Amino acid sequence: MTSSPLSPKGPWYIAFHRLSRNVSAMLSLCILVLITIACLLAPFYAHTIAHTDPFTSNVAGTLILNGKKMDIMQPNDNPLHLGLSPIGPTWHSTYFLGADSQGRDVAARLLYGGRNSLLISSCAALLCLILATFIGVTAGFSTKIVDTFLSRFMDIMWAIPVYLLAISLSVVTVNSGLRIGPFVIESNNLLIPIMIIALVYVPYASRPIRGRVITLRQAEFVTAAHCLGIPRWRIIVQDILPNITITLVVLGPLIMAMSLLAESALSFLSIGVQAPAASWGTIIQDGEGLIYTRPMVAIAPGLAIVIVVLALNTLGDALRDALDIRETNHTETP
Amino acid sequence: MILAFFHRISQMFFVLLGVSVLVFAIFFATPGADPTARIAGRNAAPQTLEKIRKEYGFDRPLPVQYVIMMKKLFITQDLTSYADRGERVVPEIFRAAPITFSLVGGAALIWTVTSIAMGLIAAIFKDTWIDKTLMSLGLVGISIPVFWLGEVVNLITQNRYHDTWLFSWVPALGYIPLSENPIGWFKALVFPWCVLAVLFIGIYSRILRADLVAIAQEDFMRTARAKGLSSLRILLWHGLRMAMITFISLFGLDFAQLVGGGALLTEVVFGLPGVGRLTYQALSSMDLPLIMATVMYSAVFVVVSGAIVDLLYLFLDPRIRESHKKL
Repeated sequence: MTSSPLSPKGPWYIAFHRLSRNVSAMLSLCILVLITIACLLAPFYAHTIAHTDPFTSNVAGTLILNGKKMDIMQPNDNPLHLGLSPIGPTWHSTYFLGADSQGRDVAARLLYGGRNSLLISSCAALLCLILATFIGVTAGFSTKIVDTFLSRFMDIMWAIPVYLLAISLSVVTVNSGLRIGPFVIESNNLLIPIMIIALVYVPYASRPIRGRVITLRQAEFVTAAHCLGIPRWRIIVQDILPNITITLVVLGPLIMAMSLLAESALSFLSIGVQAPAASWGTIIQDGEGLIYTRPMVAIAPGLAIVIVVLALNTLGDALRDALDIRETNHTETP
Repeated sequence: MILAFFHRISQMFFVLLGVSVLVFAIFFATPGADPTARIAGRNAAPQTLEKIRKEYGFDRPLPVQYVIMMKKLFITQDLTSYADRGERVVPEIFRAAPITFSLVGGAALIWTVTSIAMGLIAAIFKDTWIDKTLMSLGLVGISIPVFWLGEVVNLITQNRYHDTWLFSWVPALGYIPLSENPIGWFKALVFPWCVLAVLFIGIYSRILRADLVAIAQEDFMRTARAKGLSSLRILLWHGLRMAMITFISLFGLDFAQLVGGGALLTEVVFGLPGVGRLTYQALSSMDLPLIMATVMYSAVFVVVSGAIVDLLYLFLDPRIRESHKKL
């Protein structure tokens, strides 16, 4: 790309321009926006289109399909008609994707669950980046002792497999919640999975940030600021932070993708989002027992996860290319 | 060299100490999460709580509790489960470990071979549709939740298409010991292997391709081309060898994490009674010593194997030896 020397373009402009010409990135962005809007419209869908309450058990309920009245819990297909299983996908406005084992509308729950999944993963990614920036900047911009201490602490967290660490933290908070001084966070509060997932990925994000800060610290404009006697906190705010935003922008979607996967795994193990609230992970867990009779209950939320995570990963890759950072998170930064 | 060796070993012990403190703190010192209440159950009488607190030693100061717990875990190895009274935790983990090892070993073989092939082919056909297709497939692999993929594979192989010639050989979910029936062992593990490998095929093939493409710009690659070597030979002999450095150090970390219980979700979905499923069962009964022991076991495994990989590098790669001398 050549730009005329008379009108220099800013790096963000160039990046945005490159990004807007990347078809798969724009497609991913559209998909993400559409899915978010669909999930935000969940109450509208449940009340106006599907006419169901996706949070109360409806085992004895009936629905009207093509003018015929049908039970939600239907006799099994086996020759003796033993047992009941929920109705499969009707592909009509009510019970579009069928019902789960408690007779609740899966499609409506999918939208409500998406709200929680997207909320948790985006807040967790944001919180994780804030914490990682704090730690990365502190480690990269202070004395060697503080840096060694923080980096070793990150090593220690890193030594525990991510999912095991998340599971451990969830197990101790899942029953009784968290009590820090006067603050009590109930166990069904979404803040708990958000904080756990954010914490778990802090070492992953703080490492590249610290590396970037160390490079910046040796840059001439930072030395110049030092020489002018500008206090350290102002150097950090004015010179360092604006220069690590690129790293943060690239990390954002990737961490959100990982958070979404982690959230669904925790909810699948029933230590994430707590009933009656739903997330894509809890719906897969509901569907596990029905996997051979009504596979759609588990397949639909899984597909939703795959689509969103794929879109986020594609977007993250495209952002990395557009902002031209050739860093992988796995390579050790000095 | 010897200095670097001891430096790495002492670092390993430091991290192990830190990990044990962290894990202990998570389970026994999280604010508001009282282990006594967990053992006693909901709405227990205050006398019961007091009795349990005494019996399990929760009334002692935390550092003392920590030392006792570590002694029970590592030295006397007689830490017992809270859920099944009298069941020793450490032997239970060692019984489950070979199963996890079978699962992770096979998956590692699959993901190594497949991702090297995918990365190489993508690098050879760089920027063509072959490259793009392979790398998109890799991205899809990274984006699939492993437990969901396992469920879908089970649906296909155990139920919907189980009666067809294609999948009729798949045994019911569970583990068949290698010593009893090697063929059965293989059959039972084929699908868990593949499912577990998918994520890593995605990660590794993409990293390998990126490394190969970056290495192609290096001076020694230009020299090799100038010597008139064929491009395939340059890629395989000079490029791949360099790219394997990242690959192997990543492999060490991931393999250790998986053996240490990172394969939990795959084990749960396929009903394999490995370390991960042990953790999962401890989860449902809220059996703190067992969960703590499995998490500790995994961290120890990760830290020790990380140190071993680094030491191997010290012996194998002269450049790393040199960089340590300067320290």
